[in-house]
Amino acid sequence: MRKSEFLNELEVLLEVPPGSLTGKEELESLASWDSLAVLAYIALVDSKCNLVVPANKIADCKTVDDLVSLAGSSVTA
Amino acid sequence: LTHTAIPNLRVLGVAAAVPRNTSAESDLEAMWGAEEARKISASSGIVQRRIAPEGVRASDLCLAAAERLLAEMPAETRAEIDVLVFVSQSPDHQLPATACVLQDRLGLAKSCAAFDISLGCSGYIYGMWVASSLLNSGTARKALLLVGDTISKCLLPKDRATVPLFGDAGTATLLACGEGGTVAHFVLGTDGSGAKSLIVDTGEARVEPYLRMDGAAVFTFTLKEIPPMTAAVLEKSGWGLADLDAIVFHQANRFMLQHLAKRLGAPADRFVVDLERFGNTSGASIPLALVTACREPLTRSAQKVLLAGFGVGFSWGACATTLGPMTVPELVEV
Repeated sequence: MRKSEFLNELEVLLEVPPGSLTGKEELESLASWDSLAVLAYIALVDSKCNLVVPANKIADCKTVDDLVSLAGSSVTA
Repeated sequence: LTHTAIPNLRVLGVAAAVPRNTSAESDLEAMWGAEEARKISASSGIVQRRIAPEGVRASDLCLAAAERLLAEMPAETRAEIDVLVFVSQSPDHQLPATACVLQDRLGLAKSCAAFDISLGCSGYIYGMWVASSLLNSGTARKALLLVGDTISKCLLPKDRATVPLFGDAGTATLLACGEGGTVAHFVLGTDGSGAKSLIVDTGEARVEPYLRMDGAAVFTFTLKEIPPMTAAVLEKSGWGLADLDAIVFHQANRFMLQHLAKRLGAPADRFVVDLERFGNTSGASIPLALVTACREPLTRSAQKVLLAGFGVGFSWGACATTLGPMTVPELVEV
């Protein structure tokens, strides 16, 4: 999956306008990044990348790009 | 994973009881606002939870379910119960075991062996496994399995991770082994490294008497362990998902259940999601769903079922077997 497609998926999940995420956004600045969004992110990576992300690594993510990186090598530039 | 096959299990009946008292979405609105309450309910699939009022314990709910079930059984049944198992993380007392109290309250014989098992979300499967193993060994004629919890009593007020999810329920299942029975395959597992992800820490230090849940850790544990467990128990039974009449997983929350169903490729019309009116009732959720979602087919005919419990511990278990026709009284309200 290309990074742009993954960002589109995250936009749906985070309820932000399509095409608005660049990756540089701080997760703290996104009001919709909450515990429900974390669960949706885990489900997204499981569905699209066939990967179960370690829950403790999500807490370490500071930016949207960190979430992309955590999704592993199946998300390509 | 631990595997056991019980060759001739007979589940004679299952009953469930919930408190009449409810907590609804409006309560969540009061705590977090209408938009947030809507968002939480939309994800969890829970609109209403049953909350045991002060003085009503898990044992009371199980007792009500057991009395309702025994009322539908032949008069001699009570005297034939040689084993009483109470599975709960909401015992009446630190000691004695709640099963001992319930033996007396139910008027069971003094020759009845009674004990508690401390497990939550996986507890129904563990209880069935222990009870059916004892029955199969010839130790007992009939076993009464009581599974219930009042998790609402240990929730931190306004904790967004737990308050919207958990409800209270008690259940009773009557089991026997022998002629007319059917094979029951059990697969069980444990990973105690997840203990702190779902915990009420009232140990010696009495750190905090409230339930703490790391939802992300619980969800990732589920994704790692439940698909292999499901595959294992189906392999042992020789069944595919398409052979099953009902798939009843622990009713944790709708989001998790729907993701699991998709991941497993489970047929949606047979994958039970029925927690809207009750919430997550811990170990009671599987037998409660059997009563609320599968009552009619179970009373009518034999149903191939896959039951799976998973969560606090972390602990998990699955059972593939045939249930019915059997006694399933209407849901009891206390």
